This record gives sequence, C-alpha cells and structure tokens, in this order.
Amino acid sequence: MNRRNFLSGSLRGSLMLALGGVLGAITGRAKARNTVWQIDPFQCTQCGRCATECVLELSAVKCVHSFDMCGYCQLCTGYFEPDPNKLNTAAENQLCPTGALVRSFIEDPYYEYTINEPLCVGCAKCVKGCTMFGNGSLHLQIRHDRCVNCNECSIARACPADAIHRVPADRPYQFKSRERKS
Amino acid sequence: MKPLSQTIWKQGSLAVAIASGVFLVLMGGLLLFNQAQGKVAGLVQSTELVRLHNELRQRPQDEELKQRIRKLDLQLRQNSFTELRISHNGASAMIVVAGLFLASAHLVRKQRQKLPDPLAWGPRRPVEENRTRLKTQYAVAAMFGVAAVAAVGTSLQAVRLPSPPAPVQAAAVRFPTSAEMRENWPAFRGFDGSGYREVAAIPAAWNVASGQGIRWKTEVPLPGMSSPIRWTNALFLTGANAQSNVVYRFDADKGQLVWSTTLRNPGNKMPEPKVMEDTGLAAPTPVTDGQRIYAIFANAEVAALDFSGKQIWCRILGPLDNPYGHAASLAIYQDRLLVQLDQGEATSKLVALNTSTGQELWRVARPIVGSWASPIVVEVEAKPQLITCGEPWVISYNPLDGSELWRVNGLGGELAPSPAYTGGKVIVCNPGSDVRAIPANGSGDLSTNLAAWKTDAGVPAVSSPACDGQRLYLLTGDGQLSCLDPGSGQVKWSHEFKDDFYSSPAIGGNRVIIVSRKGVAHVFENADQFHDLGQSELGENCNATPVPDRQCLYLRAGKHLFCLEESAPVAVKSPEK
Repeated sequence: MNRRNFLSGSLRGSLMLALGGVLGAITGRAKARNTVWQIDPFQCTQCGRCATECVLELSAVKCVHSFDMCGYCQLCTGYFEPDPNKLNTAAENQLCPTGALVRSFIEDPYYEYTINEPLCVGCAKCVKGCTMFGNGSLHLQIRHDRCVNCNECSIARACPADAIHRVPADRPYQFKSRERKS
Repeated sequence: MKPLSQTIWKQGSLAVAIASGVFLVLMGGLLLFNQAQGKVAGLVQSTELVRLHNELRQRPQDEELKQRIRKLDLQLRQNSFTELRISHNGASAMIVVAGLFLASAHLVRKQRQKLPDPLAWGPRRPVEENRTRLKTQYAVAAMFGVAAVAAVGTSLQAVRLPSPPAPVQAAAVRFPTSAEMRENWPAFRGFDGSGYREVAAIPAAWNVASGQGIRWKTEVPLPGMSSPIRWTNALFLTGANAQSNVVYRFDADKGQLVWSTTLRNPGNKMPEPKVMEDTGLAAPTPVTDGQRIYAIFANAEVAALDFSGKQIWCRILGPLDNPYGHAASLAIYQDRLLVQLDQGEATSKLVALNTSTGQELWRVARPIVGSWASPIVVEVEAKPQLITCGEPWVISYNPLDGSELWRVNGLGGELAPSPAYTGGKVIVCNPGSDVRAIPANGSGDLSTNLAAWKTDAGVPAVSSPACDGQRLYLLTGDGQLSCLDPGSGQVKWSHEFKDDFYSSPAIGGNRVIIVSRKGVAHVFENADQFHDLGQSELGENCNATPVPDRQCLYLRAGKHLFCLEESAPVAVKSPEK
C-alpha cells in the first residue's frame, strides 16, 4: 500500500462514517422534534426561576394572556403592586420589573392588559398576582419561536413544581381558557 | 532575500491574528462573566426595590421615596437591557472576529518556512514501517466505526414522553368524617345547617351582672354579625371595619384570644362596600374543615388561614353590589369551598374554590335577583347536594362540579332565611308567604310538582329554621315561635315572645334557645308542648346564632363572646392573657 492508497482509503472510510453519523443524527433529531417542552400553567407555582434558569440570555418563557378569562379589572392584581400607592402607571405601582405588561383604558371601569413580548423576561410576578387574587388569566408558556428545545431543559430541571414537561409537538402550547381552568 | 510584499503580508497577517486573538479572549471572558452574573437576575430579584416598596406602604405620601423608586427602577432596567445588548452584539462580533483570526492564522502558517524532508532523498521506507501504518489505519477506521454505531444507536432511540403521574388516591387526602363534623360546629348553624346538636348543655339561665352561669366572656375587637364556629378547643369568629377584615381564634376552654389575623391582599384599597347597619361588614359566618378556616367579608374578600393564624391564600371575588351587604355564609364539601354570591340576575353566581390554593374549580351563573341566605351541603341518598335559596329559585347543585340537580320556582321577596334539610326534604321559607318542604331526590325543574307540605304559620323573614328531625322550629322577626312536625308540616304549638329576632334558634339535646336582638335569651324544652325554662339578658345586642356544645353554650353578642354553662362560679372570670 502506498501513501496515495492509504490517504484515499482513510478519506473514503471517514466520509462513509460521517455520512452514517449525519443520517443517524437526522433520524434522531426528527424523532426528538416530536416533542417539545411546555409549562403546565396549573402546576406552575410562579417561583420566578424561568427568568433566570433558561440557557437563553432572555428566557424562552414569556407571559401569555387568556383574554376570555380576564376580568379587565381596574385594580389588576397582576399589574399593580400589592396595596398600590395609586392606580396609575408610575414605576412604584407596577409589579412588572420591565414594564412588559401594558395597561390600556377601554371604558370606565375596564382596562385591557397586553404583553409587550420583547420586554417580558418570564419572571412570573404578574402571573402570581393574577393567579392569587384574580382570575388567573395571565400565565407562563415556553415560546417555541425562541426555545431551542434542549435535550435536558435547564428550567425543567430547576422547576420546583415539576410543571415543565415534554408535550407532543403538534400541540405545543397549554393555554388556559375559560373552558380549561384546571 | 524575501520579496518585500511577502514580508508585509506575513507581518500583517501576524498582527491581525494576534489582535483578533486578544479580542476573542477578552470578549469571551466578558461574555462568560456576564453570563455568570445573570443578566435579568438583578432586575427581577432586586431586594433594594422590594425594601423601597415596603417603605412606600408605610409612607404613601413620600414623594421623594417615589422618585427614588422610579430612579432605581430605571437604572435596573437600563443595566439589564444594556448587558443583554452587549451579550447579543458581542457574540455576533466574536463570530466575525473568529473568522478573521482563522484566516489570518492560516496565512501566517502558510508563509512559515518549511524544513526539507530528508526522507525525500533517502531510501524507501522499510516494510515494517508500512505494516505499522496499516495497523494504524485499521485502528482509526475501527474507532470511527464504533463511534458511528454508537451515534446511530443513540439517535434511533426515541425520546419518550414522561409517563403521566399516578392519580392521587382518594385515601391520600383525608377529609373530616361526618362524625367529626357533627362533634364540632364547623359552619353556620352547624355541620348540616340544621342548628342542632344532639349532646349539648344549654344553660336555662344566667346572670351577667353576678357572673352566675358565665364561664368566661371576652371582648371581640371588631364588630360583626357572624356567628362563632368551633373545632376542638378553637373558636373562630370574624370582625371587620372599613380598614380591616379580621379572623379571630379564641380558646374555647378559657376564652383568651389566641390570635387575630388581618387579611392582606392588594384589594385592601378597594372601595368600601355599601352595607346596611343591620348587615355590617362581617355578616357571613366562617367555615372550617378542621385544617383551615375560611372566611368571607362584605367586599367579597375570601381567605383561608391555618389553625396558627397564618394566611394560606386570599382573593377577592368582587366587587359586590348588594343592597343590604353580602351576608351568605360559606359552605364546604371535601376540598371545595362553596361561595354563593347573589346580587342581581346578571351577576349572581356560585363559585367553588380549591381549599388548598384558592384557585377557582368551577363557577355557575345563577338566575337569582338577590339573596342573603346561606347554602347548605347535605347527603341525599348517599350523594352530596348543595342547596341554595334565592328569589325566585331553590336550586340544588352537585358540589363536585357545579352541575344542577334540580330546581323549584316560587320564592319571592328579600330572601334571608337559609334552607334546612330533614328526612329527605328541604325546608325553605318564602318570606311573607309560606314555608314548604320539597323532596330532595328529584331531578330537573320540579316547579310543577306539589310540595311535600306547605304552611303559612309563622313564616320567618330573617332567621333560619332549626330542626332535630323530630321538630322544626320557625321564628319570625316579631317573636312568633312555631314548632312543627317536619314530616307533615302540622303545627304542634306556637308561642309569642314580645321581642324582635334576627338570630336563628339553636337546638341542643332537649333544650332550645333563641336570642332577641336586644340580647334577651329564652330557653325552653325541645318537646311537643311549650315549656319555658328560663330567660336571661346578655346586656348587649345580639344577632348571631348560638353554638350549643357538649358542656356549654357559645354566644356572640355586640361586643363580647360569651361561654355560658349550667353550673357557674360566683364571679365573672376575666380570660387569662
């Protein structure tokens, strides 16, 4: 065997193995993609770890709002600090640390609450207020346009309530609604 | 001699490689440091901000403090989002610079002078060397093969969904038994809302001035129309004013106030509900399941506390718009706290809350104009029913899921008397019209069915009926007391007291007690003829229903909670502090 044969044989073998590996990986990923991570909002205890434990710099967990459950309250306990100083948008009255929950007047005495998603860090402060004292219409969900679907989700590992599970990828969200309240 | 351009290329490439390498190291370090710091942790976990918020609650008018909060809030947001931007831009820059580094390093390497290969001129490689190279080639190929098989095997293994958790066995969660509920007095008018306790010691008379028959009396800090409830040696009571809704625990043996807990939630600044003086802010009686106490107040603030007084959860189901103020007491079935909120046809509702978390389990709208009656939970043919009254319907629900079991039309007026249940029949009062008994084993709309019986004798307008299964007592607001046969509705006897009454009769063994609004108590025999046993004065107004107990009687008056007993010391004892 000369050097030329040795090199060409090694290269051919390596390419075959690499091709097999790639095919295997693709098969594996295709299977892995059948499931995605999601938060069960009824198990979530609003501990706040979703904001800090995600591998992404800005967590893939965001607050979502089920408008059909919302009471459109003037005193929204997801928006305002407990025992708020005044019912206005000043920083000392807002519960959200990033101002991601936006309050819009509809008609007296109703207000609509929407989420400015780029600002939301998934800290669950609003969710806690809404769940404890309101209708629980604000809740957390893993956003699949952001989630990288790690094999072992770091927030699932850190979740004290074991509220984060793999769910079928064709039903990737577990939203609360008026019909699904528990 | 190398050409000048080659030297420039080499030195230039080297400079770029060094500069980009240094950049990569520095930027990588910065990003790692940034990552370790936690970009949003400082924002969402700022203890300083929490401290300032707490200070603001103490000094709500402090404008300087508000400015400090705003400044800190802005600073925290700026820091966090700046760090996020640095991370994002830094990572992008690192990718570009890494490419530059690789290219320049490659150029530097390429331009390095190579040493001549002596083998190029020497003899051919020996056979041994070729053999060694062949072995090496096989070893490398085998290693790659094993790795590839392992990779393919691993990747073919499907990701399995976690198996669903095993359903919680019913035995794991223990609810109090009927016997335990009967032994205690866990709700308004007792376990099943009948106002009856089989073994009890209702004293015939007492004297507040001399202390005769008074085991203890303790001042209740805040007013309320609610009645006491008892679980073992704990007596619970509620009181409220415009600022606070408070739950009290008293020692049932000695009377001392063990703790008082002011409910705390963001709704404390809700506008004070409009209530009539006769209703007040703490009219509904709390309820207990032996583990927690649940209380509701006029602003629809409902809460659960443990037996040490710690608030477990608290939420507001209002605001309520009730012309007299909310008065319906709470009911409980297993892990469901049942709240009847009747205030108008469009807004009346029945809500079940999880007793552990306060989360809503179900809610049904009620076609009720308004009511002040309390719901009761009873077992009919071994199945639970939640029975409610309001104008114009008596409706029975399944307390587990809120599904309606049956309903009967025909109630009118402002409905305050709660229903009672005895011998398979629900007794309901239709103020100003009649008292009727409805068989509780039907289904659907039973309005066209005939009632088991109906009578217009002594129809209460406020107080609720009491029944021991043998006799049904009805007390009107102006003092007419009627004793009926609950099976037939026949009046056994009636007696007129010259007084006004809101509180309901209570039956304890062979005695019955009623207490007038002025605080005059009348005790008589639980018998088929009227036999007066005694009359005593509390010296305070009274609207709460008495609680008969094995050894004594508990009674809430305007300012004090009393424990009354048959044999009494001579002097009034102050509770031990």
